[in-house]
Amino acid sequence: MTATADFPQQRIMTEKHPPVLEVEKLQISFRGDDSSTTVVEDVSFTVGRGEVVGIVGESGSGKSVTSYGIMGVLPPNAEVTASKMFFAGAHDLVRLPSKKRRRLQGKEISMVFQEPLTSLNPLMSVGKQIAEPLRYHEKLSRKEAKRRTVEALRSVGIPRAEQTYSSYPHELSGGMRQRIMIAIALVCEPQLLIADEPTTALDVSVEAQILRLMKKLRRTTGTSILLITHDLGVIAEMADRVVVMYAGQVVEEAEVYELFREPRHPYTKALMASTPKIEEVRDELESIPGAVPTPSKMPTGCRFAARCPKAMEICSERPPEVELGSGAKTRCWLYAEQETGS
Amino acid sequence: MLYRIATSYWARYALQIIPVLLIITFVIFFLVYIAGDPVGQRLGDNASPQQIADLREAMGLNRPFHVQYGEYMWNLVRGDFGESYMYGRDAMPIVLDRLPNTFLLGGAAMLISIAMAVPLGVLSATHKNSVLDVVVSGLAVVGKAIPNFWLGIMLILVLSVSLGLFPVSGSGSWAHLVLPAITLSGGVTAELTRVIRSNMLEVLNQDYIRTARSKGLPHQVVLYRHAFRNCLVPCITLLALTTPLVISSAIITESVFAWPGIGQLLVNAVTAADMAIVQAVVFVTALLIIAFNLAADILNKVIDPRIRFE
Ligand SMILES: Nc1ncnc2c1ncn2[C@@H]1O[C@H](COP(=O)(O)OP(=O)(O)OP(=O)(O)O)[C@@H](O)[C@H]1O
Ligand SMILES: [Mg+2]
Repeated sequence: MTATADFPQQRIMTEKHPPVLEVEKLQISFRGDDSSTTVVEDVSFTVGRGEVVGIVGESGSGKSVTSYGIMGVLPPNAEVTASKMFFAGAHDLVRLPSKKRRRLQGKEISMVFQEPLTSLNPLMSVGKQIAEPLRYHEKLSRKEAKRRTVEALRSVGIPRAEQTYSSYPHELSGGMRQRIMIAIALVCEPQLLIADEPTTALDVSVEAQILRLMKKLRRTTGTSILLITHDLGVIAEMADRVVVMYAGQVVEEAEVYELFREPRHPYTKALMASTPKIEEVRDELESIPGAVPTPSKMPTGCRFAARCPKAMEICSERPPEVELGSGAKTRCWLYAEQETGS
Repeated sequence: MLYRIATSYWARYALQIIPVLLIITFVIFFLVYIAGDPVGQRLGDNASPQQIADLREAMGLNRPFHVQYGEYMWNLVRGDFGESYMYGRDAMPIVLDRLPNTFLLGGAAMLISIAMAVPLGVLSATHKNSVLDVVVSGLAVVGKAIPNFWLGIMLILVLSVSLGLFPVSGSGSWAHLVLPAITLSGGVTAELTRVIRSNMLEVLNQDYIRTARSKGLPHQVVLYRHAFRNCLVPCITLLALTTPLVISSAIITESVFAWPGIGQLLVNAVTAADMAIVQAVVFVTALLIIAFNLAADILNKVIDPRIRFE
């Protein structure tokens, strides 16, 4: 799984999918005691039917918060606004009343969380936890729900599914727990799966299994996947299209082949340069000098400027989002000329 | 396998109980030995020294300490707690006769505590810093601070004497149970509410609650099946730990309301220096505390699979 080598050429997709998710100008802030901090701002992207869209970015860039916003599981002090956040073209996720939203959660949109060790209820058998969405959304009988649960356990590659059904989370390894999380997310066959760093906490061989599993699922059920990671290797292996986030904003979006062949934004370039070709160091993004600005000290201009080798004077002004054709976009002054030229 | 683990658990529990019982019975004996010379009280102020000496001789109070203790233990082992001089018959059956009344009062108080504390604790956690939360927290502080007898007397004054809603005291109908049960529940309700609130606040921030929400489960299911259940272990532990406290407030409550339980019996027995009854009540109470702790232990193991029968 190296970042730049061996990704299949046929990934270049020109065919347009009808979008499962359309996000436009998403903004998420957290209300504090006396002030409010905006941690996600002006985030826009779409996920087509059957498409795998990757979101990459350093720690703290707002990947998880964005996905919680889509999923509708932000804490009560969060404020979400967007000019558009549509699911399957029909449901406005920003304004959806909570009762209707619950009908989508776990059924049409589901999520695998970043923390496999703490995301399962310690007092409930994993079988019951997988069966829960079936019982509530599909109103299945206990028996039927159990049958489907055991099936789901098998499909995520868990040996002795019947036995595992009545296990408790603390009896299972991290990899097993992550499979359980995936089984919960997939048991109702959702249209959109959000996977937030599904493999970060796992070792490399388990990671490979989980990724293979997700690929298979996408192939067999046509589920769209929003895959969040800070591992470009995972992106190269899995994604059709990539959204690069920096300090709460999307700084670049491109098809995966194009992104690796011709990264535009200096941040994307730095990301690639700092990714080791052989997977040894896991925290590979640390090596970009400087640090992500904190939400309270966010510069008004380009947020990457302080760390950018190509920073110019104009970068202290808010950079434009430049359309580069074939769906690629970047938020950088370097390309502002091209837009007016094209 | 599980059976073997469980039996060794029971065996160890039993082994732990034996020294506890030995200590308790010794303490009871010792207290009675030093404090309770029942003779003077029974014979009245006008008894002659000769009469006193005769009764002491007859009751075996002149024998050395270890002889008396040996006899006491031997009697205990045979289930003989001595004869109550107030009633003129064996003390233990008298205590056991009164026990159901105390259970009724304690059970009713427990139900009231749980019925109040669970929704109040959960709501003040989900509505942290709201008016409700502030009011509930305030009430909890007051509830803990109010002495039991004062609450009981206030309830009698307002609800019985002024409004005539409930009988002032005694037993015999459900109406008689209401005020003493409320009185007894006060302190536990306050403490339980506080514990539920603080545990819920912690649990609601856990990752698995976000998972539960992401499944689109109804709000109440997330709140109770996922969040509240994870607060049960500390709640049950609290209830077990407060048993001695509840029993001591039961003694006061039963006296205030003339509720015919073992608490009232104990107070009467102490006043009359009926040491056989005192010993029997204290012994039963000690057993109850041990039993409640054991029950809490088992319940916690059933609820939380991470706690093992070790
Ligand atoms: N409940 C919250 N209240 C206030 N700020 C929050 C809250 N949750 C997240 N944040 C802030 O939002 C920013 C983005 O966090 P987020 O978890 O989305 O990052 P991430 O891109 O997922 O990082 P990582 O790769 O470490 O998972 C961080 O600065 C974080 O401190
Ligand atoms: Mg994250």
